[in-house]
Amino acid sequence: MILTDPPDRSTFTIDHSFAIWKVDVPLPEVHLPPLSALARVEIQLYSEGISGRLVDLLSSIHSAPALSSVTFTFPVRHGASVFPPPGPWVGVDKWLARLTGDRGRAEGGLTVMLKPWPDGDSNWEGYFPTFRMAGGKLTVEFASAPS
Amino acid sequence: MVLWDANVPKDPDGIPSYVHHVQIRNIRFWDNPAIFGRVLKTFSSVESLTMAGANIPPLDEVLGPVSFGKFGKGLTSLTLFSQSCTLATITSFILSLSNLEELFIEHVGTMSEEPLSTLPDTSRREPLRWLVLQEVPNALGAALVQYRFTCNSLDLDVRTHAVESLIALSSETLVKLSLQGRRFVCVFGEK
Repeated sequence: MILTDPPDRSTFTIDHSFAIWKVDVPLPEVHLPPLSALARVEIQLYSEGISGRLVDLLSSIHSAPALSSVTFTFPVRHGASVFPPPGPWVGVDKWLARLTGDRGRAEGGLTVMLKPWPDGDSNWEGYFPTFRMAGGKLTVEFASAPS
Repeated sequence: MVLWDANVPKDPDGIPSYVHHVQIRNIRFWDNPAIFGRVLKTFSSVESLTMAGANIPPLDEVLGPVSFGKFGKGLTSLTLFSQSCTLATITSFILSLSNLEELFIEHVGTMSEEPLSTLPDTSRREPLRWLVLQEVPNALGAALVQYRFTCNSLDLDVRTHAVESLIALSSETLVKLSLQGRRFVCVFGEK
């Protein structure tokens, strides 16, 4: 049996007798120290999906009391109507809700801006329900494709 | 570059001091590595240096024994794009720039990971205003952590090996964090 560690560290590939399985393995949670000055987070994606690695990284930010803005720029397929896709986006929603609910958060709260490209008619209301229930604000602005 | 170098010895004081940016492109191997050092020494007004497809020559060949912190004092911005020199060379050069404010490193190939020589304590260095690491080898991210580089704005490819450590080091100074996912070609517009 060969155990390899691919780039996405939440998945191990086990190769045994010509068969390959992918097994999700829970990882120890990482806690970054409080990011006391962090005001803006910008995330640039090149596919509709978001990787487990990125969700892990965002989730490791447990305290950012000055954070006021998180921006996601990402592509959408023309005509996509059901969004967001399930899976890792749920983890992002939970992370945003947790930060929104932080005691000591600066007035004005946390705003998430979605910047899909090239354009689209997606149903943005489906985005980040937990975050919005926690009082977070969501805005959408179409963007140009990154160079 | 060659023409400029040929003229410098004739009139070393005649170099105009209004040159603020130097860009060196597509020099993988230096026939005369000393030219590189002369550029930085002669143009005392240079504030930013871009090396695009041009490798940094080993500093001991450029300058002799390097006096860290006394070299490239005016340089505040360094861009390294498409490098393939050794880890020791690249880190030695970065560490030699004591007033660096912006550091952009993108598309650096696999580099030899020979042990770094003993270098100065950089823990008291001012935070960089902006640090960008995109598609760099793990060893380079780890080296920046080893030398405790902090920053105000951090722009990272999430595949960078030392992402968490770089963020943690800047926990008190980081104002803006930009993260990029895996880049690949997407096709749109099919109806």
